[in-house]
Amino acid sequence: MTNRHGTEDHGPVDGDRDRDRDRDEDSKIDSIARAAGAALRQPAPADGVDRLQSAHRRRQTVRAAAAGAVVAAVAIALFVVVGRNSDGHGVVVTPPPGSVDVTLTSDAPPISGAPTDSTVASDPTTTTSEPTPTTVAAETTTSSQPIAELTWAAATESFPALSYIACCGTDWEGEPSPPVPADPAVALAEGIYNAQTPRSDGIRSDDDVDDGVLTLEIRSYGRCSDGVVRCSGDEPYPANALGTTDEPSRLIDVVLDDTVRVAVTGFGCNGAADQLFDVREVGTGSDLLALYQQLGDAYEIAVGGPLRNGVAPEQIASDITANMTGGFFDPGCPTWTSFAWDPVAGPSILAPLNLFTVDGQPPLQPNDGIELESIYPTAVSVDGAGVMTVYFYAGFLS
Amino acid sequence: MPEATQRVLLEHRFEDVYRREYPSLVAVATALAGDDGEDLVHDAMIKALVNWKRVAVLERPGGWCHRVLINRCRSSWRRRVTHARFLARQRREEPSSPGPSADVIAFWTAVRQLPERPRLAVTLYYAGDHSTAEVARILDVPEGTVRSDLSRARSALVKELGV
Repeated sequence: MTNRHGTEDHGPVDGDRDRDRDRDEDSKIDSIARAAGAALRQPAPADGVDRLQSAHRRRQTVRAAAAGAVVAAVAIALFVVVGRNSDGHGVVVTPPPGSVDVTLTSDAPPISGAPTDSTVASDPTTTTSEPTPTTVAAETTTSSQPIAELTWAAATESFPALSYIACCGTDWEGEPSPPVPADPAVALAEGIYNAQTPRSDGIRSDDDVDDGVLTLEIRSYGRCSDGVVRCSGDEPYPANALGTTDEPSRLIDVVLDDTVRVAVTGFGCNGAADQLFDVREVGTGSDLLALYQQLGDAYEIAVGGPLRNGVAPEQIASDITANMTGGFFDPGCPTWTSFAWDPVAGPSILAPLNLFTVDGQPPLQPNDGIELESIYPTAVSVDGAGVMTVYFYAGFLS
Repeated sequence: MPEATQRVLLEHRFEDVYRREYPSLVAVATALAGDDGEDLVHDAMIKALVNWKRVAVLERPGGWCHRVLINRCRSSWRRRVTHARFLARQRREEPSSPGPSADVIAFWTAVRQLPERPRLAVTLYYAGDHSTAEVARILDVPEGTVRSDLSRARSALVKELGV
């Protein structure tokens, strides 16, 4: 027999008391659950649609004003940086106690159609769509020759605007990608493509990177004005506004070794000025794998282990604030974040550890590794020689 | 069809979808995110409104709204923490309003401790009042997976709640 939810109502099972008991419990919890669900449902407010429409209009106005403010802020930042660094070679920021010295390039954050303000860059709705497009089966992608870089180094070039995350209800701006070939045997053409980890907003400690393979879902960037892409901005779309297309995506298994180039936008924080700045570094897949492992180990030292030993999240936060632990430290940028992580090698990463207990929320678990999501794949580019660069955006803010 | 007529039809259809889906959306959001539920539904429906020309032509616009909402709920933890920090700095308390009963809160608190996929399955099934087939479509998993998740989740909840 099937009820309205389509689940089976089982009949009695002779002589099996355990199953009878299980069925009774299942029926009880089912009934409790239905009541708990019904208690939360409520009709739509009568003025709901009106409120949505006015909120939408307000957002459009605010967005226009914010865009002007961002342009002004970037212009001021550029002015300040240029003024401070007349030699044009970079600025040395005094690191927190116990950290390694880091020399930072003086490039301002990229100015593109995809603002990089990471306070709002994690809009997960860019991953949603319906109907779900077909995904072409995974292939393993690696070129045969190791690339030149063998360890992390400050990037000397700007990263492409399409390698950053579109945020704040805006879209990327630029030229569309080549189409993703439907045939997995056909290599990706030269160009840049959107990349995400399948069914996830990022990479967590429990994702399958430990085996040295990173699975990415690749999509093309296409013009919003074509009407077939996921776009977040308002219509009419600018001619160069881009979103990700609905064409079939492709899964690619990227072997994290020295044949793959990775480019990571991390963050630093100038505590004295309470300001964030870009830290762009490039390395190899092997470097990235080592970075993940370091981060996992550091998290275990600073957070996972203490949680396992019954230390309260607030106490862990207090301890990290007092002393750098496993590379985690308080950079003293209260407006932006409470913690950052400084690896032995590689870009520093903002790491909001969410070390709080919030009433009504499940307690923080040692394996949550929440901020390991912070190293977030965004794009893949393929150059004329077939070398792949995987771009990452590191350091989401809470 | 004249553009003005098309626009009116689109607006009407949005309102229909809004009224039809709201009870389920708000229940799912409240179950997953607590007091922020209505705000998350508001955000998700603005997203639907902004993209309505594309969403309206989908076979199941409600399913799209649920997927957007679930993604919003996933990221609400960070906003919640930020909010908590902000309140701590401001040293003030939010006005309280009457909410669900203690039993209902206990149930959904237990649900929030389930792993993600069973948690979403339970929420969409019981709070959202969706069939297992609908839940499977929203989560993009086979229906058998949803049934199995629900079964395991019920067992876990029996233990957790001492039913």
